[in-house]
Amino acid sequence: MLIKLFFGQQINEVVLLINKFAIVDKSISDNTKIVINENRKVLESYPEYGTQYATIKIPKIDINLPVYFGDTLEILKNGVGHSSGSYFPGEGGSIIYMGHNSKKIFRNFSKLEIGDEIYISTTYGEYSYIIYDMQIVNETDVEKLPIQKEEEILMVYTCYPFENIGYANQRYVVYAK
Amino acid sequence: MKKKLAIWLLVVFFIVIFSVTVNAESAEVLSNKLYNKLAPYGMTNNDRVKVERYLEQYPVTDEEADVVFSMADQMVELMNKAGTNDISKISNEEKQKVKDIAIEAASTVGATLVFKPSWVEIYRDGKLVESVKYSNGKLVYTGNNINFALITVVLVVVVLTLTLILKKKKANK
Repeated sequence: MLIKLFFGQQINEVVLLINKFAIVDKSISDNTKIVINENRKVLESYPEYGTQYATIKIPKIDINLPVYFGDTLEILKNGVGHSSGSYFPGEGGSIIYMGHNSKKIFRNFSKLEIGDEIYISTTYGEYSYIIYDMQIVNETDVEKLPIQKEEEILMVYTCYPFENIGYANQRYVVYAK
Repeated sequence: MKKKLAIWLLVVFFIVIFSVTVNAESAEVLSNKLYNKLAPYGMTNNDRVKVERYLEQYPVTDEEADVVFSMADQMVELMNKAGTNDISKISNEEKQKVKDIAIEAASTVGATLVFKPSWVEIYRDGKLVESVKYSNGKLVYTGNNINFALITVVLVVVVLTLTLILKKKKANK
């Protein structure tokens, strides 16, 4: 607390500066060829692991970020990751995205409210979701982000507290459909 | 850990199916069947989705799917003989056998495995197809890592500064 009191502003500035350089904009390469089979609700082909295939927009908190297929630490440096153990937008199941709690990514998640909109613009279609719930869960509460294919639900999470000093063992999860 | 066994079993499964053709409609059924078999060894629903996705892309016949299950059975039998479902508790020789099955299958069908400390990357034709991770049951870490290094540096500076100030005060007394 003392450190934050004396160096808070400087810390924020350094973090902002580093994040600015950390996020690299990568173009959506061959993923423009992806097509979705609307009848079967599956993609005809899938993006290469680690490539961008969409952007996520949350107007309420002025977010417009690239979404990459995969959730490695390297991917999360560049924007928003998509858990490869979840479905894709349009497939009618659980979709799990995650991003850092930095100012450039999801620091302002606390400002989101039920009813706010999330837009996912993919190379194969546009999808919109309405937030219906937010929860703070423990990092081991994976069952709070259930994988199913009965209903298309988008779950986006980031570490909590948002300005963590030290290891953050909680996640702030936003649920939308 | 039993999840590592599930990872290798999944890797073997992925590799074998690259060489076969299947009814696309059975992708969900087959992935569910594999999930039911390997769930006791740590296969998660997330893993099941990965399997389903690959079966959608690389269909396999029912007969060839049997090959996958027989390979999975080989590994399970190995674990049963070892008397545990925790791969960390089997001998190095047995671990190597499990790994050898996966590598051999990959080589046969032209796929490449890259073993990382806590995950396995699967490449085909030079492209990264999937990353099968030992997730240790936690959601991905999305905290601000910079704080660790920054706070450490700041702490060191503060401590050194205070130390110098105290020394000066003592010297001036």
